[in-house]
Amino acid sequence: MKVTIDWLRDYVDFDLSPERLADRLTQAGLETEGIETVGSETVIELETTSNRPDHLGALGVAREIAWICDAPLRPPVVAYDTVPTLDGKSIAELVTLDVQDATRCPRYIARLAVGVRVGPSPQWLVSRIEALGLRTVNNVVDLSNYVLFEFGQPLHAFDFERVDAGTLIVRRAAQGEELNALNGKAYLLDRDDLVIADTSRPVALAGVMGGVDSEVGDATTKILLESAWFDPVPIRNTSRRLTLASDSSYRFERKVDPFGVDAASRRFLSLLAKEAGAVILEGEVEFCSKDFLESSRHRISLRPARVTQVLGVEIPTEDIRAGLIRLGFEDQTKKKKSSALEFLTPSFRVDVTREIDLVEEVARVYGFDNIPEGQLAVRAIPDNPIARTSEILAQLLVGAGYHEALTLAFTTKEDAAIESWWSATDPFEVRNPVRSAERRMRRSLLPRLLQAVRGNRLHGVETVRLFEQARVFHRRPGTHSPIEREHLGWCCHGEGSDFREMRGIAESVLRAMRIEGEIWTPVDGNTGGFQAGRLAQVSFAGERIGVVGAVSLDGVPGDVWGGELDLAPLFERSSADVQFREFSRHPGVRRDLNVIVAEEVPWRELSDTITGRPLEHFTGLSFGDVYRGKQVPKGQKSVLFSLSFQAEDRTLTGEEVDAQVQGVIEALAEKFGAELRS
Amino acid sequence: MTPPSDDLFQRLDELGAEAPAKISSATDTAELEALRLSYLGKKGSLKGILRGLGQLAPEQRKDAGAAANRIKEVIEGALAESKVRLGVGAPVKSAQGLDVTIPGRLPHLGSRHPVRQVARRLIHIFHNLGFAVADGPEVEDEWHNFIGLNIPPDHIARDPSENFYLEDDLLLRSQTSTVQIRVMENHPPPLRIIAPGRVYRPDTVDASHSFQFHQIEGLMVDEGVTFGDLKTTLRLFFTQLFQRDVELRLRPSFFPFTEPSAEVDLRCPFCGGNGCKTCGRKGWIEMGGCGMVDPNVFEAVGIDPDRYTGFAFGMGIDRMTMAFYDIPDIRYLFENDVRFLEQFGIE
Repeated sequence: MKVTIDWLRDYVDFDLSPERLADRLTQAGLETEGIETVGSETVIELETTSNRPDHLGALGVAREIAWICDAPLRPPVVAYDTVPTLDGKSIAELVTLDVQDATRCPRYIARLAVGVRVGPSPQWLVSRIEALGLRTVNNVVDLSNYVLFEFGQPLHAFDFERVDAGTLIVRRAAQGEELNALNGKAYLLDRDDLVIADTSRPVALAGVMGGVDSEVGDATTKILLESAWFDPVPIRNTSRRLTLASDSSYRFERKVDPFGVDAASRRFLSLLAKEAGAVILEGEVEFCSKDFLESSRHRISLRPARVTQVLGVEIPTEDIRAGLIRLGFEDQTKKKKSSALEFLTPSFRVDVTREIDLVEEVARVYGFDNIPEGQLAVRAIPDNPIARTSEILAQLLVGAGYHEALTLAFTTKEDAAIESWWSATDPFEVRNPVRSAERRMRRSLLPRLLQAVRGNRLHGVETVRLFEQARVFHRRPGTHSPIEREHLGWCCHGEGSDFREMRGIAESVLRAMRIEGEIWTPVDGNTGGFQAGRLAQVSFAGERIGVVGAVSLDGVPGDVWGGELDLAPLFERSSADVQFREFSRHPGVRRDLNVIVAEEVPWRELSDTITGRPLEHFTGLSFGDVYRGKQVPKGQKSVLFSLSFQAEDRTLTGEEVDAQVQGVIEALAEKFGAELRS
Repeated sequence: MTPPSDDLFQRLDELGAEAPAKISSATDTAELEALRLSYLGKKGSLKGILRGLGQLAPEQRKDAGAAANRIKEVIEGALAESKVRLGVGAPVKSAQGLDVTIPGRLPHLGSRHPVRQVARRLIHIFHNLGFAVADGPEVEDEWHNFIGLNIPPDHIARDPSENFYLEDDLLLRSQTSTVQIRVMENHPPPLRIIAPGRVYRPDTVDASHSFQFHQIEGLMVDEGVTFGDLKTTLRLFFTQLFQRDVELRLRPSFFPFTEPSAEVDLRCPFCGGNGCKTCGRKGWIEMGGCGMVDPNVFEAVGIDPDRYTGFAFGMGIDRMTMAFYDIPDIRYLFENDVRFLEQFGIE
């Protein structure tokens, strides 16, 4: 909303620089976007809030200045001379008004001006119209715009001669009816649109735009002036559907002042008489729904105690009263001693309907800045175990060299293979995606993380380690309702990345949550999105909790590894409890072994065999490495591992340990044909 | 007239203050040598001062001599340090041959995302103010995203083009205010919560818009909670965040779920209000919206609006992050380029 300083001075005297004025208005809730000079005018641009349509006219802004500066408001002149008849006919005989949809149009006033001389606007008008950033058209159009920006009330001027039978019908459009609008475009209307029609066709799209058929032109001498109140929601629907927004629709959408309908109409005619030589016909043709005007003003009681309860400051009752009166509220308190005040709202304050709205007005007059700070009581809050665990996991991943990523939660059809690991049901889809392919809500974190790895690689970053903890979106089993699960995803590519790193991350995460006993199994057959034979799943307590595998990405040489854990079941079992375990202070013994076994023998079978033996003082088995190559026969592999022994109460001797190690070697030889490699 | 002794001691003090500062800002060896000569040379300042020694009483001469020696040591120390700094005259190997100039082997550390770092900072501050973290789903229904928040069916905010609608009455939450409703539905007052999280709006992507972003919502409800308490909370929060006194401005605004409502402006902490790039030369930065919980919201969740009052506030985390680190384009935040991420390190 733009307005010029000069214009505001028409209604109120103030002694403030434009900057200071902007500041005061901002503090009153009318934020200033900027101050600029256009020609000889100083223009301030205000950002209005959607609940204050009264700010969409210069007069409304002047009202704010009037209370801010405690100065009287000078409303504009709305009086004009009239003639009783035109060619012996009164306005009632010349103009027929038929409002068929009173819900959508509860008030409509038509007035008639004759002898209009359409021509260029006077300089003062051009100057103000151009200061608003509008183009001057002619005196009639400019004046109707002027009044729109003065009262916030849109008007429409029809060429009376071009309205059939002088009849205005406010009705729903017929399906498929067309209107050639003033912007030169034709619009196809439907039953939801409200039109102003004459006896043969629509002449305006109510509240949005007029039609060319009845447009005021240079030859126009008689003007039929519309001023009305239209229901905001259908106006907006029509405006949206037709992608046709105007200064009119903008204001009707936010509710115009029901009383301003008449005042703005009179204002226009008084200006038209002065600037275009118009002669105004006495009276008007008006439709107004029963109680429409009465119901637009609200009687509200305000308890001063409520003001204190909400704002935390005791404002004297007399100050409350005086402040609200300054804002235009009418004091209707009956009993002097009553604990509640009663106010009638002014019709232009369509936003104020409740006691709390008045409290806000009291706060505004008192000044938000003047309300003193309160005393906040100290309060302890309980720990949030999930947040704490998430924090630990992030630190762990960062320590392991992973960068935390934030990816977008939308996936495409192409991502479905990897996502199918987590959900067989359909994803949720947004109806209006910003990027048309990305319409699905992610069921897995990996697609977007892998995309980020690829992006890095294409940008020349050769080693990429990323992780993210975020939600995925599934459907509750048996229903279609959404269920969100917290997942942890991580990817690595480039130097050092391999399956063991990926598994190591998963294991570290589980250990950090104090969870042990997960089971790793290879996945063959359908490896959805991952490379065949290079995929493992991890389960815990019979439930699959994660997946780790290698992926091939377009344009990325080598493997990209991706891993993902469902944290939801893990959070439930995670524990922060740590119990100290005593450890031996006597030296232990470690024996490194290197055995050759057949390729098919997995580590777990070897380790189960070893740990299944009744070893004494055995403290641990640790995997070293697997080696294949020159010195190892084809189809076999060399496995390195070590066994540790330690006694609680004494130093172990080599002999005690060697006998046990020999037993291990023999067991492995018997079961797997393992040979000790020297 | 000043006694010669006072004058001499004062000049020594001045030299002791001036010389190390100048030496440590020398940018090359030639400059260093010039400084050395000007302080310690035959015609240097120190000698000049000591020429006045003869005028002192004998018992003062000793003190002055000691003071001069101290100053000389200070200057020599500063000269030696600067030599190392400028890479001359410093030893490179220990007697045993340890080359200490070889760079250290650094652990390969990852980094925390800047948005998460800022979110954590905010959570931490609010924790200290007694606000616990609350959570709500990202796939919401119209009740929690609109109706409970006093946003009527015909409100502009509910337009399909402003939201990511899914199926039925489900949509991706467009604001973290939904968590207010979730919390109040399930917990009686007193309440003091914050809700950081992802939100979604179908905005066209550009330097300052993303269709997925982050907000933090705050809510406090109890008997006797006032607008004054809201001001206190916000001031304490921003004071903690910027680690200095801040100037806040609450200006009247409009949100359906609060009344009175206000925009929170902060006197730009980056330029002190003089106008800079971050505040768009306005001197104030818009930090978010706030207000007293609207009685309609209390009624929607079954809390007695006559007995309880409360305040709520919401802020954008992404914009705050961009301001903190001077990130020019929001797209950096979601692109996950390692060269971006690694700049923010660990916190």
